[in-house]
Amino acid sequence: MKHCAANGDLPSLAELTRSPEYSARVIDILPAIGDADTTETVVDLFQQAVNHLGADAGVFMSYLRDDATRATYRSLLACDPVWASEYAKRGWYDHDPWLRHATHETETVRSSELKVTSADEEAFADVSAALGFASAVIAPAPTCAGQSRIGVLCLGSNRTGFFDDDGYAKVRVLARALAMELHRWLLQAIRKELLAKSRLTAADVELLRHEAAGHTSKVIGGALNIEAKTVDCRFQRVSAKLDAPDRRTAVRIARLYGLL
Amino acid sequence: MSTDRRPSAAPPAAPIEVSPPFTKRRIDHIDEPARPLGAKRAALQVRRLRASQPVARAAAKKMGIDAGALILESKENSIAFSLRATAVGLLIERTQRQPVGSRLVQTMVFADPTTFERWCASEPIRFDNPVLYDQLRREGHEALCGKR
Repeated sequence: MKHCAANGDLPSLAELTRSPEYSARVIDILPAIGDADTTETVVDLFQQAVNHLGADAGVFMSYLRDDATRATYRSLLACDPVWASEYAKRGWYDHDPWLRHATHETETVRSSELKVTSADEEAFADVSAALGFASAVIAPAPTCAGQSRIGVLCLGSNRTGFFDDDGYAKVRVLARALAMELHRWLLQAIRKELLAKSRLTAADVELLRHEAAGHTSKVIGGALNIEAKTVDCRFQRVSAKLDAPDRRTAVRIARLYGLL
Repeated sequence: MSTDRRPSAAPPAAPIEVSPPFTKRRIDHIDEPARPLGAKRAALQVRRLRASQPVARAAAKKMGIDAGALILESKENSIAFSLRATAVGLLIERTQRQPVGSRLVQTMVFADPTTFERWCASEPIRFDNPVLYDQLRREGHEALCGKR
């Protein structure tokens, strides 16, 4: 009510969430997100979900630590594109408080509850506030890969304190579900991308499965009816396909991208 | 997609059992930070990754054409844009990468030329790589106007 009065005709979050269709509209979209077959479909559905939730902006970010030397940050954007430019220009992935939160916590929080720990994070918060995230909900999408692969959804509003009223309880649940579905889609997409790029065969994946099970070259050779040296040779080729320095890292990459 | 070479197309492999006498090799825990490489191996890996860059660029161009997307990239392959006109608008995937280190991939859809122009105006390559920037703007507007 407070927000409604302060922002003219715009309804507050509590008013929006009181509508019986509020949750239903978002829940209807969720299964289609996880199973979307194209990138444009998922971005479009994400935008629709953001609108149905009453937010003005949305960003889904995933972090993947490929190995000791490489990390990938991927984002799906349903927000002011200038925010994306600022993020890239300032290299914010190293100072992103939303990602930091998702790295260490699994709980959904509001930006008002998030502690900013450095000047860079403060700059991030200030610019984000001006570009659609004056009030925000940060929903981590945790995975079994712990800190090696994480996802985080941020829903934003131009209105300060928008997410601080009674309607938040419903948004918290829906945001978490949306974050998990977006992460599901992203994992499928990066898996396809890796397979297309690396041209791994079913035999390569089987070899990686053996390594993941802790088998030695001799044991693998015995199981596949080939020499241990041939196994080592094949592992070298598989590692090269995955740009991995060794077979243990190759297994790590295969597991992170959901190949095993 | 034709590029989708899924190993799952083969009959699903039976789970490989881990019996105690066979588990001699150490297994990295996936939920732990990546194992750091030794100095020599790290240097070798950096050299390998740098050497593989031109190959990666050629592959990306080919994939882009196959997927109906136009790929624009800087000479040194540090930044690339994939543009595709879709039913919901212009889909752009912006990739910023270093040979070793972080890679940032941003995916967005532009429904109208005004938003696209606003994004272009804020794009960091505007002054860093004006040739690529001009190409990006031109191709983006053409795609949005349905000329491509």
